[in-house]
Amino acid sequence: MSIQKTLIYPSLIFIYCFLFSQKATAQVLKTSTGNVVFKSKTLTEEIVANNSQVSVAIAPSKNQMQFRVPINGFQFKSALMQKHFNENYMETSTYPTGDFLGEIKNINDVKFEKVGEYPVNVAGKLTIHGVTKEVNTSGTILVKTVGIQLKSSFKIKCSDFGIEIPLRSIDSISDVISIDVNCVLTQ
Amino acid sequence: MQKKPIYLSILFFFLICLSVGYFLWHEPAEVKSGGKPDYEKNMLDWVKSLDADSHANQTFLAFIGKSVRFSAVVTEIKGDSSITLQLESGKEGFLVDANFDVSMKKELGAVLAGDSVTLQCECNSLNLPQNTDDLFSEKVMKLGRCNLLKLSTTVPDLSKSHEHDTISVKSIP
Repeated sequence: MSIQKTLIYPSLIFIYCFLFSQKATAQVLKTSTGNVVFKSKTLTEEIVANNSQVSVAIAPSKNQMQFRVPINGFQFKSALMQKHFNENYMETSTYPTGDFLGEIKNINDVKFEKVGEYPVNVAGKLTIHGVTKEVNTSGTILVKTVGIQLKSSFKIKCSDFGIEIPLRSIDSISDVISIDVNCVLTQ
Repeated sequence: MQKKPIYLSILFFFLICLSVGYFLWHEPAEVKSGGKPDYEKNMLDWVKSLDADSHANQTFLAFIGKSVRFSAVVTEIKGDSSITLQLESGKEGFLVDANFDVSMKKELGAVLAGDSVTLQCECNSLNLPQNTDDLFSEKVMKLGRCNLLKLSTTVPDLSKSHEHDTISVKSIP
């Protein structure tokens, strides 16, 4: 009887843990209210824009990560900056979204079923202004009791994506843009 | 002697240009859509036509950045910093998200799921699943810089049965 107990109970616990972990990794975590902040800093001007309409999805079982950013959703302080951003630089009516499709290189280090903070390396294809580039960046996944939080900061060059800054604006708009990502995803 | 007035005129003109430039550069961006809308739509009909359109992505490009006024029923309230109202689309797998600026949070405090709202928003994007591997399996219309124009809320009267719920309509100036 005691042998049965010592074998059956750990087995049941193991099966439960296995099933729970499978459930955790098979799910797709999503949000459509993720936050992305765009910063351009030069000696004369700092431009900041915020977007809280970012769609993000992660499928741990497929190791797939996807972002879709509505470009017109960036809110600037200045009306003129916002107008120039959408009409002259990003050509929002032709390229309405920025997209990222990638994977977490060290996904095995992230325990989606265990609360904690996990540094991650992400690689994938970023499409902005109709131009697609391979990008590699790092970030953090915070696994919470309900859902996860993604945080990352990286830089992109406007010229890499065919976004030309005219000479007259070179003092106020930087070619290198900082992007801060902060999104809370739930099932 | 005659050159002095010319220099003064040039300086005056330069200062005017500088002031106008400064004003334009620092004029704050609108956080909510106002004025006469570019389009007035029946949301259910609009969603129905976009859902049936095989080139809906291209069709929607004409609406990007344009303002649209419509009425709809709130199905869900999302977001923690800025508020997003998910609206009834009438189509399974087609979502309509109306996002409001953080400053509108207090104004939206009274909105509950099930309420009818009249909004004026800017069209931001129409996200469609691009292939079978796409993690975004739903069609999503994203509207931003929304302005709550009218709120019709169903207030349950606890002294009576639910069949006698009263309806309060609030127009927001």
